[in-house]
Amino acid sequence: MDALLSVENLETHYFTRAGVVKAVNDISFSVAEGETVGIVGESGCGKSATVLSIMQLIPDPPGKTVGGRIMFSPGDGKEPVDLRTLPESSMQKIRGNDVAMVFQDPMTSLNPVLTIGWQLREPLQIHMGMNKTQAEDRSIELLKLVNIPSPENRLNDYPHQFSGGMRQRVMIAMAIACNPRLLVADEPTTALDVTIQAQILELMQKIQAELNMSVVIITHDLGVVGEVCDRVIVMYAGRIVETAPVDELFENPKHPYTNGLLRSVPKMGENVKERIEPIEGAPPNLTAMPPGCSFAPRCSHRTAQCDQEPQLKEVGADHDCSCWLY
Amino acid sequence: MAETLLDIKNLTKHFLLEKAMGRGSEPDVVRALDGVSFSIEAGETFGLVGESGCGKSTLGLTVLQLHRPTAGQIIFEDVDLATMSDNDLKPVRQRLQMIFQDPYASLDPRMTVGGIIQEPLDIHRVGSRDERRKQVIKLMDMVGLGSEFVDRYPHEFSGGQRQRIGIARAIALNPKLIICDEPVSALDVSIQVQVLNLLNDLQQELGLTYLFIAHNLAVVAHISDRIGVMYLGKLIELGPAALVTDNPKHPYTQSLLSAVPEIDKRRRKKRIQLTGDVPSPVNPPSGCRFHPRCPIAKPDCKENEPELKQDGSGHWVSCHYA
Repeated sequence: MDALLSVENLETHYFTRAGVVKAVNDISFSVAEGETVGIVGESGCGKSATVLSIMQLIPDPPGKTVGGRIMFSPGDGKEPVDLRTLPESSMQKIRGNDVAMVFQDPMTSLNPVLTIGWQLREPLQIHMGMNKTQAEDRSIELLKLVNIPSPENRLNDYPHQFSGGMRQRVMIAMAIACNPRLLVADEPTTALDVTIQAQILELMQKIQAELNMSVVIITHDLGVVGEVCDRVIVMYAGRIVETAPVDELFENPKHPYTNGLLRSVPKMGENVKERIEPIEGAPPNLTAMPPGCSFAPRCSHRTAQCDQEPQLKEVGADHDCSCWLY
Repeated sequence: MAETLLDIKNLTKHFLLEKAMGRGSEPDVVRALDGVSFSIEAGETFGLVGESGCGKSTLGLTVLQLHRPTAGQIIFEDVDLATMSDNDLKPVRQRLQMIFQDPYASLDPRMTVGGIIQEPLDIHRVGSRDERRKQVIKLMDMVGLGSEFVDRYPHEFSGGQRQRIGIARAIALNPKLIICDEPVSALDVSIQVQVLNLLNDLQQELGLTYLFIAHNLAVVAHISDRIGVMYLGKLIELGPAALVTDNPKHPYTQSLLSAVPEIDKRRRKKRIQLTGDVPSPVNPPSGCRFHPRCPIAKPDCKENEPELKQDGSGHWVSCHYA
């Protein structure tokens, strides 16, 4: 399998009054064709900044991707391109076309004053050169694909006439309109109830298999990772601390932070009221990062060595971890 | 059998919707709560779960009389709160407190942490000024906040710390019952556990009773002694936490549990996929409110509304075919 997307030493900084925030601090990973990669971590760990960097949607100012390469293979035998250095005009041909994104909040990411039909036709007319009738026919097909009942009657409806789950289906329909090779989903089910979340995750997996897309999904919910991902990247304070195939990570977590996260999720059917040992403390302030390993202040395995920054190294088959324990 | 602290009988809360442009004669009615009955024993944690719009938050606010019920009784320490005047309620509210979901919106940004925690003591005139100040320091210590932060403002704290401030305020008056409305859903998982542990510790120390409202089944199952499941303004299942999560009887509870994403492959259940969305509480379906989405619905489910019945083990369910 070839890498569809290969992120190398990506660095994204925000230049704020309080100082430089290294939101993404020298991270590298790749996504193979047809693969689903999950990025997990808590608020402020840099997972959203990572995918916004891939999409070249980091608001500048205050943010900027200051280093690294984002190599993307557009397919059809074309050479990979570096999305970071691509001019905005060329990026616009890729964004929404070869690489598409589904955002977290279906309530705010659709335009409330335009009909669903208008918003669905837009990428088709821009990227595929369709006329209005063709785009409309394709829109109906897309809504069918995401299980919206009687789609021909819904094209003239506005977003507020749809429920949260249906809006997220429309977002997915828009994202897959141009058959993207890579779908980036930022917390696509966080705003939804669990029964609706289950429907959306199932739908995404079905569509991925049909279109042979690669998917990068951001989530804070380890359960979602377990259900849909092939490989997981665990981020903490702007860095990758561990990455492994999903089963390997859950069965054999290495990094103390990964261990702590897995332990922190209450599990159904376990002894009621049994005490869970928490990860003490809180994530560090990104403008005043501790020297060395950024997890060290919260880590129970801390040693003098942790004043030096650990690097990602192989700890198992396709399993990397950045911790001095290994 | 422990003493009953809160007894909710046939609680009903309807909200009238304004008619657009004055058209039509009858205003639409949102049936947020429709005849909910259950009781909470002193010292237990009662978890209430359900999806958006099922009425669980309305229930919490109605118990506190922040919404006045349309019908029904809320008997707290042998008096019916629903019939009491606002003036009479004031002393009762010392023993009935609330922890809110959003630690960013529920703390006044212009008050210091000390001021926020002291406010309930001031309102109810507990002790002298000095005693109140000392009590604030003690409360901050109890929730794991250093007393050196007493003069800081909420924006200087993280989400988890803010929730600790909210908890300190809630326990300031030594309440009997605390209503926790989604107290950890805005927090990251590592912080969530810290707050759940704190709530458990305080319960043991102070003999608190919790009504714990949340949408996250795993969290509710973890902290609760008993669980109630709500759907469209009705309580549809109720029982000891272990029975409800390991052996759910109502088809809705079954599908809800099967929809929770599981980390562990071996524990993953066959998913019972529900079709469609939750219907509107303005015109809830006839008969059993779950029947349009129910995988085992039969024709009479459309006609007859099932009652909450128990099987002898304290496990209640409202379904004709469970």
